[in-house]
Amino acid sequence: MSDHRKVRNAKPHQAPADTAHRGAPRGGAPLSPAPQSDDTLLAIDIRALVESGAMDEARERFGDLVALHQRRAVRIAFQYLRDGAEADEAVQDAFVKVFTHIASYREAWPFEVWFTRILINGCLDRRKSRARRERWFVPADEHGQESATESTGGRSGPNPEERLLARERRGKLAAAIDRLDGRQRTVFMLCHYGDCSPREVSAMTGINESTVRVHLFRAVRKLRGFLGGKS
Amino acid sequence: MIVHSGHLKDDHLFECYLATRTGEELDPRAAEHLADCDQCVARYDEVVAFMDTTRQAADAETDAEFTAERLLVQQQQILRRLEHVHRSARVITFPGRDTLSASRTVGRLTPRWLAAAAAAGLFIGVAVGGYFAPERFHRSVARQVAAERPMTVQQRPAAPAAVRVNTALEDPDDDAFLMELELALARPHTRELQPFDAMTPHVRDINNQER
Repeated sequence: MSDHRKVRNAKPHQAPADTAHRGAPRGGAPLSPAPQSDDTLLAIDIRALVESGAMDEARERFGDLVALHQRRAVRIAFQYLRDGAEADEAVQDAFVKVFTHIASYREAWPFEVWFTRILINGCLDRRKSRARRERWFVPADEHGQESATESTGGRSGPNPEERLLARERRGKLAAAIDRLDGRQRTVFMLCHYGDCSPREVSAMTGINESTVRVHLFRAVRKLRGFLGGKS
Repeated sequence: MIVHSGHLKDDHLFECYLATRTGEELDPRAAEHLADCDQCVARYDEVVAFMDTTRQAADAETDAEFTAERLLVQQQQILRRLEHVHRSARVITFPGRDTLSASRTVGRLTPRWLAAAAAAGLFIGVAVGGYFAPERFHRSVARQVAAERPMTVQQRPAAPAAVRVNTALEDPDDDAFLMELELALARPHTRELQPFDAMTPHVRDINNQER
């Protein structure tokens, strides 16, 4: 839960006044001017279309942006929330939020950084809200959830024993990740599952890049320890 | 941190892994050492294997949960939701004409004299009843009023502590409600019990320590 506050209230390093004011990511310094990626250019186009009032065309172009980032977003959200339905909603909400606030997007940050930050904040909100719910209500039957996952994943598994072992391994890994400190978890998720470099994670979270590297190393060391490997 | 005399430390090995993955330049000293030392290469391979295994497991799990069809459905749902963004809600016209015509037809079916007769009958009934049995009438009215009157503050049973917080019930946001509830329950309400509360460890504190 504390991780949420940390990511949200991260102080900007050198965020330019105009971008901070217009709602761009507050944490981290903007990445040095690099050739803009396809998704960033696409986002700029969509912003221009929205500003000119060509909403239908903007929506159409936004579909391409969704296709580009959907898989990665789903992976991050699912690993964060460990629940298919909730991850689905979180990803949808993040995309809708991005489209709604596309006018506030500034190309000082790559689109990926901006989008991931929105997604992660949504996921953290959901985790927080779920933790609160679980303190007050009886949790749902975990067995049913597992069997549902197994039934969907069962198609690709070659043999039931291997499937069972794989599921057990995944469960252990998920539990180990859940035991990580909030910042370490966020950094590990973004770097490892979100394919972000420490520099990008620094821009997303507002944590210093060298601190991101330290958090990542410690997270991996802890995970190896939890999973019975070398710590 | 595990220090290996004459070998690369774990954090250096991990930096090497990160550099390889993100396409950064490797530290030349570390690269040189890795080229010569089999033991460090074995440790480096362990790190890479661990990271790859966790990544593959996560990918497999996500792919199993989010199949191509589900992703497509999700994409369509996102686009459907976007159709309503930046678009003002449609105002449905009030069906004034239909209602008027319906009331007219009802008016034709029930004659006006019937309504007038019913009202007159009720008025006469109440007046005659009040004239012939006024005491009984007043008693029953008084009883009814007493029953309907809300309880005074003194008569009302003391509200439990949790109920006092329930002002947020009207709030549609469940989270806000639960948060208020938690805040209210976090502090003791009965003065006499406060020392005991201070001495007793809270479940939440224990959970936080465990984490």
